[in-house]
Amino acid sequence: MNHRPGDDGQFDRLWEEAGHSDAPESLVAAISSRLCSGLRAVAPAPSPANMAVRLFLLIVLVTLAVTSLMGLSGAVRMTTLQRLLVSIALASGAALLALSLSWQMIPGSLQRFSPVAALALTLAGFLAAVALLFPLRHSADDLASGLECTRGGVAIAFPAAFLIWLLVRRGASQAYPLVGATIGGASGLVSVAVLQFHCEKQEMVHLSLWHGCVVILCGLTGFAAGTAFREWRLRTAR
Amino acid sequence: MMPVSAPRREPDARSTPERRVAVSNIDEEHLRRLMIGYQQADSQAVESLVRLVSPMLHRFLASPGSLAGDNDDLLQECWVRVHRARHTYRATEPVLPWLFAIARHTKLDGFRRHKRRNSREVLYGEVPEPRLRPRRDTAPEANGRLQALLNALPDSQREVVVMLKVTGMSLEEVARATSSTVGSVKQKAHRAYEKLRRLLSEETS
Repeated sequence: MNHRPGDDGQFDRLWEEAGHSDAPESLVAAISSRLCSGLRAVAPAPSPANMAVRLFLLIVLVTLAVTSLMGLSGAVRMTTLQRLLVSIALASGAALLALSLSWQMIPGSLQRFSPVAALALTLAGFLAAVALLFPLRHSADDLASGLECTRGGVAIAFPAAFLIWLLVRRGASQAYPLVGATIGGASGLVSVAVLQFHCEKQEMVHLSLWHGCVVILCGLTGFAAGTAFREWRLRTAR
Repeated sequence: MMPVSAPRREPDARSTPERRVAVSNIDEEHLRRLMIGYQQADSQAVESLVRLVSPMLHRFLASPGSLAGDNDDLLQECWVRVHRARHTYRATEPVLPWLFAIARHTKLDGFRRHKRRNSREVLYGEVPEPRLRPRRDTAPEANGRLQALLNALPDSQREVVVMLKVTGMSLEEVARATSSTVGSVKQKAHRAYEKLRRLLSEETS
């Protein structure tokens, strides 16, 4: 695809008439000299597809590891169909977020969907699966048990986010708030997956509200962390 | 090490002189070889790349109302970021979207820094600063008109128009550089040119 929009000749002429300030020769020479001093060869980073697979596998492995530690008391309360379909929903979300992160790691990557869309689709997929598969029940201790699940989910998300960040930092992400939000969302998804197979309250309201909100909280925390990091860099750059 | 030469793509014979100057005539294949040389620590490739691309980057980084010194600082900062990110360039992908994605974020951060500085600093008095070099402004009236037209556009539309004019990138390449979709870039460019045509016709009438 090599389209150029039909632009106006009048605007083109004005663009050409206007003076442009160009970089002075001395500046260009100074930049070259600075870049060449201590210049080292670098190995090109893996392709976005390769990085997406690595990120997806990392999300899955961390989920399996934490789930094995916490136990499968929730999984035994699910039917086979519920286990299968909710796993598909969670895995699809993990794939979307892994793809989005891999694109954000390489500047100039063609992003077929935005990070915000990836987060929204991940959450929507999980909520839709829960709404379709699980009964609408409500118990008296919903608030207490719900807060416990949310707190546990957020606690799981922190180390998961750190591990994902270790992989993401090998790229060269430019938009720190969005990368932070995506890492937060991915770590929140790990927590949701762990909770799904551990939590004994397999009820639609509990799952969608108290588990689902972990993704939102972690995404927002990641966004705030990315924004804070960007502001810190702006302050310390000069 | 890659040999450094500077083949130039022949200008499009059908294009008007205005279009030829506006559109980059840098060979993408040559740029790709220079980037590979950069990754392989070839200093000649680095020098050629910096000389070739800096004019485009400098024009792109210049904001309405910005000082020449600020643009020079942004250019330096952009190249530092390019240097740190050079391992992420992939030889199978075009160079310009990769470069301008980094330049775009450099420009955004420069704008944020400028805004923070203005909100926190108070100007006590005018101190005449020695002009290190005269700003090359061959047609100040045309430059003023151009800036006024560009200022009338929303930021996202202005960015797309400037990128298309300065680099000659395709819509898909601009979409990559702006982390957007081709449809979105097409829409922004269409709306921007519609508005520019309207403003220009209002001027002439």
